[in-house]
Amino acid sequence: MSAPTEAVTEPTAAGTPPRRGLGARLRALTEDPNPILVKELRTILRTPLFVRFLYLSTGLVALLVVGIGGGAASGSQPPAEVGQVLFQVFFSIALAILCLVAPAHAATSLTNEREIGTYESLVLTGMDPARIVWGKFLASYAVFALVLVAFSPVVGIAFLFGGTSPWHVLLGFYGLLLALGPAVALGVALSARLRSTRVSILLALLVFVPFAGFGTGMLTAFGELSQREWGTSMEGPFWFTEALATRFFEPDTFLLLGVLPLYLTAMVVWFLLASAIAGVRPAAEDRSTPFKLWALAAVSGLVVIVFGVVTLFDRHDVPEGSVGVVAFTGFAMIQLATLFANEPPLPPRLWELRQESRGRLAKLAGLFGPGAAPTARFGALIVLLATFGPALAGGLARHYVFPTHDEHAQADAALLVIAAGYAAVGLFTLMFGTWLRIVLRSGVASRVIALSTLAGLAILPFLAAVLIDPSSLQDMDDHMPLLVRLTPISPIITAVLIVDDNEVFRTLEVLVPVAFYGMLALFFWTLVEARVRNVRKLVAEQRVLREKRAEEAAAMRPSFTPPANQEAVATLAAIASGEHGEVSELRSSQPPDASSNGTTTGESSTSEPGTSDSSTGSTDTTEPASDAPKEEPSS
Amino acid sequence: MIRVEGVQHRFGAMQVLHDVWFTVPKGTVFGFIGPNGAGKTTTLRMMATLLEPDEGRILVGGYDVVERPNDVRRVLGFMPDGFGVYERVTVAEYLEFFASAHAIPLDKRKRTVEAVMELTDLGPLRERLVSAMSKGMKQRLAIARTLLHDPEVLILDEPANGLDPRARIEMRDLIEQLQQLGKTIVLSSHILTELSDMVSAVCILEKGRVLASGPVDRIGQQLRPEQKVARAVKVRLLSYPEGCDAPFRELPDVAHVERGPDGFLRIAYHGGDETVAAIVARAVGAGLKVVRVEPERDDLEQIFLEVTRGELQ
Repeated sequence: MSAPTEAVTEPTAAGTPPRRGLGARLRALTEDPNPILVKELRTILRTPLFVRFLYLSTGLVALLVVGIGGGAASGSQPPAEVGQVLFQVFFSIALAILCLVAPAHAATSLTNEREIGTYESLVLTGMDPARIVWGKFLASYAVFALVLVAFSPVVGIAFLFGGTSPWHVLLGFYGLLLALGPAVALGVALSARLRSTRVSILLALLVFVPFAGFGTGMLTAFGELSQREWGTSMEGPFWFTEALATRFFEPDTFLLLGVLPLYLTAMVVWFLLASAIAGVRPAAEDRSTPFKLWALAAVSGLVVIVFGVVTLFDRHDVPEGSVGVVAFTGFAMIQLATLFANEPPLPPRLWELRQESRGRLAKLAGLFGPGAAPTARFGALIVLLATFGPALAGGLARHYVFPTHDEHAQADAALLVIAAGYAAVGLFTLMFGTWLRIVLRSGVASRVIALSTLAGLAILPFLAAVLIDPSSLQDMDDHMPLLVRLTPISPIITAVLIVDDNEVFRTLEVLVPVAFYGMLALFFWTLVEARVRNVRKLVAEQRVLREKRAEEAAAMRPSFTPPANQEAVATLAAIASGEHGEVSELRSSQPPDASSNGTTTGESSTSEPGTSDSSTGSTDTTEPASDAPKEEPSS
Repeated sequence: MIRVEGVQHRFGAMQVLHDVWFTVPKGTVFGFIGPNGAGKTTTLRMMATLLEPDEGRILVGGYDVVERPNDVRRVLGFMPDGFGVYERVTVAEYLEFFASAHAIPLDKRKRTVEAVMELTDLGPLRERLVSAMSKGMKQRLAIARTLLHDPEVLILDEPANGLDPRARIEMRDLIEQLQQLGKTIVLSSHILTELSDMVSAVCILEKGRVLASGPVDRIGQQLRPEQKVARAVKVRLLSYPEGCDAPFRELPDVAHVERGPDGFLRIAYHGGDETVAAIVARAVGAGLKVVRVEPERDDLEQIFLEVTRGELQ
């Protein structure tokens, strides 16, 4: 055995990394990259199965492309069309392989660590959960990017026939790399939340494959629209490569095929990774902030996108178009409210402890931090931003593109109605969901009930109105029944009536749902704040009691615990003296809890507090426990 | 160094720990022993911040494991029972990975890994894939991993589990060396003879309750307050002449003398080491050629058997 060295003691200084500037951080990316990424890449590239997968999948792609392309070439199609078919076949097969393999592979990333027993070692290093998750994500992403590189020579077959260009190929790979993001992120998110690798893989495929199928179908359908509107000729899901290659600098193409897919992909990946980080982070830590940052970015990006999309409408369609876009995005954003209805009454303990030593700004930010009440406040801000933000952006875009439009007043009124109505409904959903979460102690149940209630409120007033007066819905244009005004969708109906009938005065009708849902939101908000205050008080009282009890017990108890079952002494003495018959009697005569440690508390006289322990050379063992906390930092 | 105060824990309806108290002094090798299902691993996992106690508190290096887990992790190295290793990396890569995960600065990382490999005798295996290592070497690698951030406390859950005799001896040597470096080491093990050579204090747990804790010799004394309990030594002689057991029977503290299955003399006695010394003196005085005197049971084994009931939890 080697002698211990001085160097072993050096890492003592290591612990939390020192704060670094942006330059140093960027340098660290190349000099000292994420260790998980490096380790994962090493491991995967040394796995024989992966190398075999590369060979086999590339061969399969080549065979299919040649087979299908050969079939196409044997017909009477011109070579350029055959080339395009081969191009679409190649990218479609590559997409299918990625959709099947990438989520499944990523779904093993953290569950596998748990199953082989390395996860705890990783957690105990104190590594930031975000770094762990990003390392896993980047490693899986890099591996499948490598798979795409291995596939890439096969697409060269399409060049033999013409009809495609290198730009198409590059843009096709860009599309695949975009699709790869959510596929891998979903797998990582599931592996962070689940314990079983099998379940994780299964769920990843069950969720992603239908989602990818639906997305590809939609994309293909948009291709037909593109043929009509933009005059593109390519068919199949990868038509966008031609549109982007030929019309990249056109605003509509740039926005709809360049910015929008990037934004949507980035938001989906960010959300899934935030979910993964929350899954890795212990319950005592702040899990909600990653979602809050995501929501801020998502809503801000949405405002920009809405502005851009509204500018694409022509003069004739812009009033209805702007209202339609805002109505759609606002409805989607209301669902965000339920995202923030999953917090326990009090903030995580470790976050609260850290918060005590932070500055004023951090304490101010804490008003919107983790815990039910602060998260409800933050959620309220997001709901307002997600409803009024797109409305404002849509209105401004319309005014900006057509400053002299004669329908601005109606469109503005309609946008105001939608924003105010959605805001009230969103706030109600948020506060009601938060209150349910505290009462039911279940995030899933609270969200399901909140959304079901919303759905019920959307439908039941119509049914009730018809039951009361069967003809009440026939004259909605002129007179909307009061009950129907209470549905969450009444702001949309009002907005449509304002735009269609040029009746700006109907703007005031939105006051009914706004007052109704606003009052309900306020009511549940008050309940939430009151409940949180009560829980905080109760927990503080319990903590004081527990600490007092622990201190009293610690003062009484020596660190040396004498053997608890003194009957063993008597038993063995009995054995030694040959009185075996009494053994069972002696044992059964003891009360059931005689061996519990509690019975030894009163036996402190058998110990000798303060005496030194010759065997260890230490006096700590026998010191009364009450003396020891002097060396401990207050916690 | 470690204080466990009134810890209780339950898994569902099952209470696995009942009011557990013990202290681990700084610089000691502390044995944590008990039958299967006693709650040893649960307690160790709590000490390592991987589980939270339902009641009570645990301080490691003065930090509360619930309120300051990150500080606890900085002063603690934990090797769980049934730990896993990354198979397709080399020993050096494995340790560099964990050194990086511990945020050891890049300029110190290589030196730290080298030093830890030297300490654990893994230097010659630096380029070997972990998958190609024996279990004993993997165990050694796991300990090396826990040493990277130079923790003051090491918690090793069943470190000798499944090792061959040579690997066990090497593991014991390594633990002794770590103790010399001033580390506080908590060991849980079923192999009591192994522990008895290393530990100076123990905590015996059964059915989630502490039966005894403190220095081994003090627990022994507590169990034999009036030396009423018979213990036994095996006395091996070069030859066993007729009546060789008679001199021992005359000793006042000797309870019983008999011939063991392979010929040795089994002498049951009351009292402590003085009685053993008297037995040896009597043998020499009687002209018997003593080859070896050994306790029938190791101290720790004896204590363990005496304080536990062997009931299943």
